[in-house]
Amino acid sequence: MVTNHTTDTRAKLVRIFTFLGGIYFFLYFVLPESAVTVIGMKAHHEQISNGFIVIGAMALGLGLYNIMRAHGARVVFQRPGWFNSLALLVGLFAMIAATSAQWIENVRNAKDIRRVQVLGEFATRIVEDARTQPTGRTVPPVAERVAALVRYGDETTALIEAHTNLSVQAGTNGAASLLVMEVRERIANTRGKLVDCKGSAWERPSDEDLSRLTQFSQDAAKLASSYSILKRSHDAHSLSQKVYDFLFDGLFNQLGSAMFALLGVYIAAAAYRAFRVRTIESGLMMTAAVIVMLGQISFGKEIYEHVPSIRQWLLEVPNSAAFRAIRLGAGVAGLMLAIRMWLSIESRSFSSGRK
Amino acid sequence: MGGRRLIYLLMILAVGLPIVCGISQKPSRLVSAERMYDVVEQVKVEPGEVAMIWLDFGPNTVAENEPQTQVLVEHLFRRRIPVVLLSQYQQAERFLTKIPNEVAKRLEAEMPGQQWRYGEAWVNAGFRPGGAIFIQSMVNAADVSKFLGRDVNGMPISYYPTFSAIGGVERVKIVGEITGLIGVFDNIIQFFQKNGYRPTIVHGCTSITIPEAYIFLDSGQLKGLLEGIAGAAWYSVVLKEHFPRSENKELLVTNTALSAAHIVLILLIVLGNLVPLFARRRANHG
Amino acid sequence: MDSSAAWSLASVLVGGLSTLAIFSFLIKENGYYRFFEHLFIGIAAGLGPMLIIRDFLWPNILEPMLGLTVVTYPDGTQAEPYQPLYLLYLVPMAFGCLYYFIYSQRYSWLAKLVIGFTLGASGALAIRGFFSEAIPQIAGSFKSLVVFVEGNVSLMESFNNILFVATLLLVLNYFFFTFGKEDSLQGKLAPVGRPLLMVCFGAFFGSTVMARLALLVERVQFIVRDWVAAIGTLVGVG
Repeated sequence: MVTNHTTDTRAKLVRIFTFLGGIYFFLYFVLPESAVTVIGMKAHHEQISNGFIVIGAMALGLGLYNIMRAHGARVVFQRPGWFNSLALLVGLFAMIAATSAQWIENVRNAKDIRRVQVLGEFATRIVEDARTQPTGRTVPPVAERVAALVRYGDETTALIEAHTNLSVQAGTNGAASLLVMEVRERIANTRGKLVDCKGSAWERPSDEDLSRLTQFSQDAAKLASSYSILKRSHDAHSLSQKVYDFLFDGLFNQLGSAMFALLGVYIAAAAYRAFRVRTIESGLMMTAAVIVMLGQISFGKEIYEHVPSIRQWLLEVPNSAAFRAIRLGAGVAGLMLAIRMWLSIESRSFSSGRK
Repeated sequence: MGGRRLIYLLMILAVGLPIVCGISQKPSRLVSAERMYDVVEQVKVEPGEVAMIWLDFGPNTVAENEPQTQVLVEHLFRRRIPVVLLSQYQQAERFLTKIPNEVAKRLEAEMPGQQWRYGEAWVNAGFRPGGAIFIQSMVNAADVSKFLGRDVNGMPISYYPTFSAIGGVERVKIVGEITGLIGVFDNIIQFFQKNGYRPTIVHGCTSITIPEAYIFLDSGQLKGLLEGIAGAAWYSVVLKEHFPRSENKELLVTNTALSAAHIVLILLIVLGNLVPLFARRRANHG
Repeated sequence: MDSSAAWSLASVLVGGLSTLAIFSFLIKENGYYRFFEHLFIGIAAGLGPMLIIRDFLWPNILEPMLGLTVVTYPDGTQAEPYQPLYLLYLVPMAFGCLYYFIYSQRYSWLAKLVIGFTLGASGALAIRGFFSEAIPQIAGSFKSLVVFVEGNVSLMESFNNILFVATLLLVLNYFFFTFGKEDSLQGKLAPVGRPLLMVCFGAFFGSTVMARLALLVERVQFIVRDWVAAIGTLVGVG
């Protein structure tokens, strides 16, 4: 049994949490930047903001659960309209499956591309560590690191070469295409630099050796950039991408556009049946509407040369002034509502703690 | 009931005929679109600086927002201004990929030998949930490329040389918001700013929000506006004046079909007022 | 025809059929329309959560928290050490899970904590949002009532500014419901705001027409151009 005392405690808790929800952003906006920096809000603002978004994002299962409950039950018990519910669930799961498959493929490909990026980044790190001894961490000797780099570089360039050949065989990138030639040229460059690296004495690297390594890092970055484009253009032809495109372009986009396009004919029927001039005010409204319509179409200037200018004036002067008044009025009301909501002044029924 | 269906048929025919016959007329001159063209044309972008275009539309407003995005992206690409594309609205996800790819292909076909490559001309930062929270967080970040993290393909945005060192949001020289949603547009107007930084914002709106968008043009919070398809069509005309090989025939046909539908609708309003008037008169005489 | 072209063709053909099914509603409510309407809702409902996971939860929260963003170099060293602070994301994640108590008779009040927290955050953001939007709007409304251009009074611009300011004040006055105003000057001026609002609504209607018709044009264009061409390709005419 829920006592009054428990209900009051819950109500207080809800009000406290509502206040806490707003206090962070409020302080962030009203405090001077120096204060925000000193108390550490600025340094962690991105992570804290992400935290707020996470809270909202966790609710995404609510919608799915409700849909499943409502439509799943209709299908299982074969209630009227069960076939439509089945269509809804098929659409839902098909989209989830297609998006997931495309995502998994993207993650896998990003991993391959990342491998090439690491090649360049690792070379840069070796150079940085060789020039200034790192503090707070121990690193292996340069010779050992370069040997690891060369081994890794050989494996990576072989992998890219295999992927490039695969893409040419699959026809997603023509053998003679600029991109394929560019990738092959950059593989050759990177390999050439790797061979150079093997030739140096890395026990005591000279400045020249290190700048050669920097050059290698830049070449590896260029290779990564070309490879990422090649890989993406190859992946655009993958089955998961095609299914996703089909669901989005063939169904979602078309159905969404078509539903809203119905309004195009409804507004015509409504204009014919309901837009009647009975008073001076409705006459004013119709005049303004007709001027705006004529002013924005190709034939407007054929009817009267100055229609576009009159439309422009109508929108810039009377319309803007009236709309600004509406917007300011609504804005002040919104501000009051926001303050009352944040301070739980109004929402007694919400924070009452009752079910 | 039958009369209503007749109106539906009339509207579909009015729209369909110019499309079937491929009729295209010069669109109406829209000053707001010209202002936007000038803003994009005159913006000065140093190496490392970028344009940021938000595509916040889905299938429900694609008819208007897609041509707007095409002309804006085309202009930015022609000027070689690097573009970061992203969205607050999940349904725009596919358009973030499709539109810049199509524009790049068209430009490459127009200018053989020149390239607009992903990672150089543009990056797709994808759908970013969180609305206002996300935007104010980005505006306060020390480095926009690091803040955005990875692109839609899972690659770190800072890895692409053009976008590696955007730095603070002050380096975003022009912000474009293409949407029909008042809420997401408000997020940009209200939160894409900080002390000492007010970006140049241009907006492609659906026609339904044109009257509201004008108040922001007047206050200077917006520097340019594309008013629905008509705005995109006039922008394409201005683009063609400066770049004669720019292709806009299809957009002009669309705009002509739209104009024809307007004429039919105006006639319907007139008829809707005259028919009852005559009917009343006849009844009085009878 | 290669497989990519076949998928594109299928996409256009199915898209055309879907469009016609939706347009069949113009004749009368029917089963085809209902079927495709449900399919659309299903696809939209599936897309949203997946994109939140794919584009936000995974790359921004889970990957760093699980240490998957830490790069290990070929020599076994790491690019940067793992940041245990990322584990703090577990707190908002757990807090966000309170939403699911909405289904519990006994603990539904716990869901109110997280809903209240979210409302509080939205409220604080709205306060900031109002000021950053409204201040330039208010400042932009202070227009010179007499405009000089090159030393001469510009009648047109002066008239526009006077009309602008008058309309703004009269419409604001029309919406001012807080106090009784029937007998005051304010009350007498209120009816003047109405016709001005009507002009604004007329402009709004004119613009709405373009928005709605644009959607129709896009669909008809798709059917007449893309879909018919796709059928031509399918039957070998195109």
